[in-house]
Amino acid sequence: MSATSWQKRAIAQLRAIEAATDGGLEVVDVLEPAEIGDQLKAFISVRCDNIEQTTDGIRYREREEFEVRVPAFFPYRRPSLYVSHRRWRGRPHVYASGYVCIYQAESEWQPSRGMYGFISRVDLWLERAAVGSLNAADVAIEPPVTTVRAETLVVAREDCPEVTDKPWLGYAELAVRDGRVDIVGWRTTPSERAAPAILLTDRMGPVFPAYVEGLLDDLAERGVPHGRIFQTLIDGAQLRDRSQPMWIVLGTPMRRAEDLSALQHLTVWEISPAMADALSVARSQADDAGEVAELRKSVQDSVIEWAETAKVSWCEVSEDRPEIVTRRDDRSPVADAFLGKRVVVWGCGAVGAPAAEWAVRAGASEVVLYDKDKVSPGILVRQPYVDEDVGLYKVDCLARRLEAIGRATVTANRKDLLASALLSDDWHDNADILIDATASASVRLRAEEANRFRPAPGATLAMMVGHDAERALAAVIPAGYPGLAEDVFRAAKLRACADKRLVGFADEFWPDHPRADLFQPEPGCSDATFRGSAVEVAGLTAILMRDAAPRLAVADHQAHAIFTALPSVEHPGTNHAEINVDASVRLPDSAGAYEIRLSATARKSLGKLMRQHASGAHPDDETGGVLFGRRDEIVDVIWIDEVGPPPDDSVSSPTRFDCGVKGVAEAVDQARKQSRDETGYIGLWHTHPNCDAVLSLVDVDGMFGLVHGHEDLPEALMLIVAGSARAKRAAAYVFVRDRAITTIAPVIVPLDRGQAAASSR
Amino acid sequence: MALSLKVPSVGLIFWPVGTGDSTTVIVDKKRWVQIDLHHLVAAEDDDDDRVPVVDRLLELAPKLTGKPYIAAFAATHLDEDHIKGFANLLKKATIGELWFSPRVLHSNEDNKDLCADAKVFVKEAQRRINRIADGKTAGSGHRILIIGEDDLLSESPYSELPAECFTAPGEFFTTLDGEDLSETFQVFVHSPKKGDGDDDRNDLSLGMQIMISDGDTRGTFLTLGDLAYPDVKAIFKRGKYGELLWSVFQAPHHCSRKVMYWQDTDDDEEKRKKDVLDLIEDHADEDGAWIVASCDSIPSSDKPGDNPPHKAAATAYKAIVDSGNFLVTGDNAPDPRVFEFGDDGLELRAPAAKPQPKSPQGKRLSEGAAAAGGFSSSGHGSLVGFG
Repeated sequence: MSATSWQKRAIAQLRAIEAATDGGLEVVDVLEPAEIGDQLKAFISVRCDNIEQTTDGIRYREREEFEVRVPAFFPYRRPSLYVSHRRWRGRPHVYASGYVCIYQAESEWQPSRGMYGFISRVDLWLERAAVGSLNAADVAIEPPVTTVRAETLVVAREDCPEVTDKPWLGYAELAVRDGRVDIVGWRTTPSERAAPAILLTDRMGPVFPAYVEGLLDDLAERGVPHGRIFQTLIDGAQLRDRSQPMWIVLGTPMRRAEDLSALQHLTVWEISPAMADALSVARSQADDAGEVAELRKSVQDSVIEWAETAKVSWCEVSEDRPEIVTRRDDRSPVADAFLGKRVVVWGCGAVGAPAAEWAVRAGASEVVLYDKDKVSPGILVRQPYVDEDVGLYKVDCLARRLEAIGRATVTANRKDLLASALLSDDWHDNADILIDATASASVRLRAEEANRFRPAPGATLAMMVGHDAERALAAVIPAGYPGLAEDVFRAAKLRACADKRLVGFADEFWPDHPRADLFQPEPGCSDATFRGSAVEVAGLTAILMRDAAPRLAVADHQAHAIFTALPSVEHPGTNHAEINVDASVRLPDSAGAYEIRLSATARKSLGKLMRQHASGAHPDDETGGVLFGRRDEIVDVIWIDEVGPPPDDSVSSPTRFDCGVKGVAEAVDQARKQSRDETGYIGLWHTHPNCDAVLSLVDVDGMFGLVHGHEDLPEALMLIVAGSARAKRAAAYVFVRDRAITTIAPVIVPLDRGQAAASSR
Repeated sequence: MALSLKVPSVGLIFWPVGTGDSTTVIVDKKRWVQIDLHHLVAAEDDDDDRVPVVDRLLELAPKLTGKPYIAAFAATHLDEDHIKGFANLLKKATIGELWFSPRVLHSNEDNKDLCADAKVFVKEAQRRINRIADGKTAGSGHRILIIGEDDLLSESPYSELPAECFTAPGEFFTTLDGEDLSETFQVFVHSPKKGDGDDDRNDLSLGMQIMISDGDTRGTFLTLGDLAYPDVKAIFKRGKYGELLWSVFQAPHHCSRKVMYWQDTDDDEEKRKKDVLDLIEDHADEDGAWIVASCDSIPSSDKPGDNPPHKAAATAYKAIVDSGNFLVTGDNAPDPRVFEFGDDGLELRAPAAKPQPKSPQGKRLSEGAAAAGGFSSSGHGSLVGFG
């Protein structure tokens, strides 16, 4: 006897239940396994006439007998329940094999409760089955049993055509590779790469015929006469790739959809090349004569003999049809964001490579990869490459890896982004989602510039990891947001520097002093990078992608920055935060090439100051103050982050505003310190309460004086605001030292919603 | 105990006679076949639940020229629990023909442990054999049917008997006390196997499927005496489906576990034989099937060496028929279990009062599992004091 101690324990538990149920359960037999590792079979008799029964349910006998199969590793593997009779076949959760499904999911099995839990579950099943309350929709119709004999694995990938009132006879398009055939489409006409397909309207029996003759008869009973089958077989045999066996796809409506309608269950019958060859020449021809006719007759006889005596070789079929298989990431925002999308990934390193793979697994249909670097031995520590990849381009290796998943087309670009894609008009590759995993300020800045003129059509996700892979930062930019990662990271920095809760992240990504402890894995000759394992970087990347996903799926005028730190990290403030970045108002530079971006914060401050002025003693006087922000000559963008109030020593009248200096130097110093040099003095603003935001000679004089009178201010921005606090409009002018303003063609932009655009051009 | 019984026109009566067989097949109003007899003297006491079956037969059986008439008496074998009371029945009733196996005919030395009624049966059988062998007319009251094969039958006087006195397993007959009833009655013979005087009497029990029919509907009764697993299984494996189909199956050997628990020569211990239970179940009539155990109430447990009935066997049979269709004659005493043949074949006549189950009620599994597994479903039901 070869029962394991675990199996013996199961029997002991059954005996204990037997003793405690006073005849409710009897262990009537125990068959120990013949060999260690086999299942032990315990036969139990259960009293059932004390269970409430209704006409909807199973009608029990006074006692019902069950076979409990106890695996060798009970309770770490759960037992299973069988009945040997056929009375319950067709009932929900009872299979043709006699298997009674009492656990819908493996996770419902509680090993610690052993047989006590198992028998309680049996009792619950009996109780529900007796009143017909087992939900048939919980499980698919039981797939029929076929004896798998062929070695070919068939993967069904494409949904079946609709089968209505009569059998569908057509062809399944195949993709054939060694030992495996994928069904990748359906067609009504034959082709070399298609297998005959018969999709029935009626179900077959629970066990499919083992012999060809039985199968042909079953098909005939379901509306496909023998002659039609042979016609299909011969047509298919003639057209097939002769180096391969022949396959016939058979569908029966034996699977259940979510709405309880029946879906096709696919089985595939394989015919040997030799028999397929015979079938291909089995059809009589009008000009058959003499030896040809005799030969034909001989072939036909062999086909008939085959049909009468041969066994059916059934292939194992693995399902991947969307109508059958519910994606395991169903309802995940990641799948919602990436399913069917074209994804472009910049950078195939520790962040980009896993991100690309996750995008493919989440259903991205196309992936375009960029990375100019080759695989070096050191990166194997945390990037998904293998030793054989060393010396090869990362993109090629990653593309191969992603293609092997078999769900997306992958394009690999070995070129330097800055010298290739980012110079082209379609720098974004028409991505639905662009992932910037380069952590390169240059790439970020160039993309920001490119985006000014040819905005990305889709969403962008930029991710970077801190120096020790304990913190990470992402910019999430939905389609429609006016700006890219540089814009959002600026806003994130300003917020992090101003918010105590985010100071840990500010210290990480924008330290007051440049980090001195740069990590160079190969000192002297490698780029600095972060310290950290694949675990940390993948964890951080996964968190960022998961949080970004819902934002990537919808167009919005609000971008987001996500700060995250590993849960174990201790730093000042929070470990995870998401901040919203409202779109800035973009104003063209009426005097030059800059794009001026007036932040939402600055716009609100402007309105507040104008309201205060309007309620003052001289509302018709002009007012104004200092502009704080940053001018970027590379991308030609000036960010106005904040507007200051009029200095106390300012002088104003209905036609003039002379901006004072009292307190300005202190305010500028404070702004620079607080923002860690992100924002500073960039120019002045003032109002035109009595006319539009058009540059006056006084304005020109003042600004020329500014840029020529201050060594550290070669360019300065003037923002003129007209209208009221609630309905203001503005024009921006950048004055450059030694450059005359030749054309003054102001573009006046409304700053508040609902305001019509005005232009004095 | 007094008993009022409405005898069916056609049907079966299983008499509650303790642990023993007494089954009456009512072929029609004029013809009864009595299979075995277990008349206990103690049952004649009014306080005894069991039925004094010979008294009932004499009272209720058809009358022929004023005398109770049993068209045929079948002795499955001559153990006391199958033949007790025969002498009285033979004396007071006309028994048209006797059915028995050749085992009955072995010398008295082989049959030295026979009870008095068995010896009377043997004597009566020999009388009829000698009479027929002498060439006298074998009319009602003198007929015999020897069922089965035995080398003994090649000897005189058996060798001088006409062919109609013999039948064997695999054959069927439709005559009853000299009358052809092929429209309504058929007996298919399944046992005994060929044996001799050394065989255990149980193992050479008569086994028969008795079919009664009205042309459209049929009812089948399968009785296998006291056969045990090897012979029961052999019968089911050998026979054709229609020959083994049963509406009513009499649990062999008074609900003995030996039908489904057996130690084969290859086995080192007794094992449960699921195969025979599946075979029995496979031949149950889908239109209605009952199993009758002719015995006292089923015990609550079995101990090694216990005589039938056995709980283990009852447990198995309860899983073969619909709930309520496993019947124990003792549970319904003093009322017999009566099956009436009608438009739907054999149907159990509802008992006068619902019998109280004498077997344990049994707890629900979840309660038992909770208790056994250390989980109380209700906690302690009353105050628990501590000192």
